[in-house]
Amino acid sequence: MKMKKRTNRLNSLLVCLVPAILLPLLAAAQDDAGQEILPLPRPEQLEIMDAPHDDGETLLLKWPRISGETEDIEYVVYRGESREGPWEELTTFASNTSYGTDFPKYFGFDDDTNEKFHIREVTPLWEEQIKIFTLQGKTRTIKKRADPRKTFYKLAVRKGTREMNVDAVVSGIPHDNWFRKDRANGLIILVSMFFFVTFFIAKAIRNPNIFLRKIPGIDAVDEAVGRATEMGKPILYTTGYYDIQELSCICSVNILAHVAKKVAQYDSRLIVPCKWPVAMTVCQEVVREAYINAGRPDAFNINDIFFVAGEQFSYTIGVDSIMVRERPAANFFLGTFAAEALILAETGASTGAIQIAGTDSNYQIPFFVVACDYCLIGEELYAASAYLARNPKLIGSLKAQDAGKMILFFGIILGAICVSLYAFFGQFDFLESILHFFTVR
Amino acid sequence: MNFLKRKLPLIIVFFTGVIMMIAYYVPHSPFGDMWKGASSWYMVIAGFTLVLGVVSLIRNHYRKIRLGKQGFGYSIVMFITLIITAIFGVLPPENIYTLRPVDIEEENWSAFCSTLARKGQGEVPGPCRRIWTLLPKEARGAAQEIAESKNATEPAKESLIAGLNQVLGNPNLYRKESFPGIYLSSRVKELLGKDSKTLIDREINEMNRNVLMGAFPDDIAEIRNPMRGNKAGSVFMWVFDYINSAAAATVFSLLAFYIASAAYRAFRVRTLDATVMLITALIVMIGRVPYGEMFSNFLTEKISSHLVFLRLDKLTTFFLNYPTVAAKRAIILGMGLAMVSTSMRVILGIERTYMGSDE
Repeated sequence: MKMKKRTNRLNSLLVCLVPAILLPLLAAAQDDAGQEILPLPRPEQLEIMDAPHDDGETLLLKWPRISGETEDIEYVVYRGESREGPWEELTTFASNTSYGTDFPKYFGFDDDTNEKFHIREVTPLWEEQIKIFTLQGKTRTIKKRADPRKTFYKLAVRKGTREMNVDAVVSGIPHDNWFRKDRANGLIILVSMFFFVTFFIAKAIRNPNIFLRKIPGIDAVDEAVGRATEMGKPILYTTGYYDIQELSCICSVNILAHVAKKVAQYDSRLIVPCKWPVAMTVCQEVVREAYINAGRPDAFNINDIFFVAGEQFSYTIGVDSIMVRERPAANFFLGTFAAEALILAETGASTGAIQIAGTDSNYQIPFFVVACDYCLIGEELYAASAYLARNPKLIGSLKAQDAGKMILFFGIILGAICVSLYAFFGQFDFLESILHFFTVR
Repeated sequence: MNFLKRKLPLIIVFFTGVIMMIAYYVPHSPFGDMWKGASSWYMVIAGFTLVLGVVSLIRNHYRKIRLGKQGFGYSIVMFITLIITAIFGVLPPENIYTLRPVDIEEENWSAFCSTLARKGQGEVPGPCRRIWTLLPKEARGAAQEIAESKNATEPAKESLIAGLNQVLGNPNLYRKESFPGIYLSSRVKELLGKDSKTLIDREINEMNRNVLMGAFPDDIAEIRNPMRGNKAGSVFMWVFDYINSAAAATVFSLLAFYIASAAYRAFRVRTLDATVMLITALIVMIGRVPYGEMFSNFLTEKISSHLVFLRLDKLTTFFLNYPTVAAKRAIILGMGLAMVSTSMRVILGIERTYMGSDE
């Protein structure tokens, strides 16, 4: 009996223990197995489209958003030469990124619709143009891109090492378009400005007595040149950080022409240290012409317009050393400047020179305001040449700027009203359309 | 003459300006590629004018030295660095892939030659066997001599190195079965993938030197830095990295002191404007420092919970996000319009001052 009882107890113990040990193991195994067989969520369709209003180098892949998109689930885009492959991995990105809302230049600003799908910009495969040449007697080839060719794409969803392909394989060829619709807002402003400029120039020719507000920095040019002449010291002029292809440098060169003419008339000396050889060549020609126009070609010294260094701080320290050694009575810093602005202006201030600065770089304006006697802020730099020339045509274009500003002023007020009204009357789509049209994409 | 000097530049400016403007709005060929083309043209022109720049630089500094002007010593330094960087930068880089006796360390010569001779004359295919078969007879003899005598004499070294360099010039050195499991960089793989007939000598040397280094990683030294050219480690880059960049960093760091002196001048309380600016600047400066923020938070909480808007961090954010941005945008908008207007003046030929004439 005792033996039987003991056996029964042992059995009941085993009955309890075995499930207690095995069940969690089974459950764990089931979890693992479950994880392996659970399919990854994947979009059901994949579309391809040519990127609108582009230069024909981009295609867009579009597929609907799916539930459960997280950072650790990735989309993988494959690119291939044919429907059967071979496939190359083109791009991989987290599944909770790259929505239609990220591409307002293609799909506008309708966030409610655009957040429902993914968009990926993809590049096609290209036909290759092979050029053959010889180097050291050996035949070499260079592959040059020709036209885009039909390219196939497929999409997969990846989580860790698991990956599932979307069934669809799509193909397309990008085409270049004739108009950048996303830049239409800029074109409207450009065309308006063109009409303003032509209108006000015509008006200025009819009536040259146009009021122009005083710009103290430009009026001080005479004072600065006169002071330098009285002191028998030179005048230093810099055209800034950028080369002649930048508008600020062209404007600076325009002002230089007027300053050089004054210097020639006052029989003073002008030093122009340049950062770029192209700008140096242009400056030499402009100053030479200014001296000729002033009737003093003999006073022109080409050695005073020279190349210092192409590197930012080498140039800065070069100009600083000229200021310290030559002690110019007037310094002109006109153009775009970067970190060297304050170094130049403070060194000039320490030599006691009268300083006139002008820049279109926002971050350097405060430094010039602090360290210089006069500062042309932003647009004044562009207006300076017209202001100095007193030519009706040029003054007319300045008036056009003012008209443009008025339009912008009313545009800002209209925009503020639209935004406020849209907050209350969201159903009026035209308000949204107006707002979005003028939004930079 | 007047046409060439006045009218032709205006015509070029007009057409270039209009075409570039169209290219901004029309991405279709041929306009789409015009911007890139224009940039390339500019680079070509800039390349030529660089010569003008160097001529100007030399003339200017030569004049300073000749006239003994103040600071002419710096002009001498400029000439020395210009000549050094020009010589080492312009000259084509030497072939850094060929072997020199110093590329095998003194204590490794004997072991290297023993391995090469023993395995090279064995039957098992491998790097030694492959190299041995390609080595000229004299080089084999030299390797045998060093291996047996355990003493690497200079003539023997020279002979073996000459033989190995001959092997490095062989475009068919690499065979997969002879060099199993060695590390090959992507560049070497790329070179190996090309038709050997199209490779130039330098590329063959580069490929084989890397293969040799992979086969004898403990014996063959890494590829040396070139003296000439402008690659990393060259004299040109040494001057740039350790003289030019260091000097530029020094000048840049001066900015901190200049900002301090400029701030002192700006914050002198003379007018109402300067006072307002000083107060605003103080709020922003203290508000950006963690202790300032903590202190102001403590004070506002102690006094009244309604004064939260006076916390320095809140005020700083307000100043930076609203009045500053408003002023900046006003400047940017004005500048944008001025740019459009100026561009039109230049394109339409109304503004001609940059050509030296305001007629």
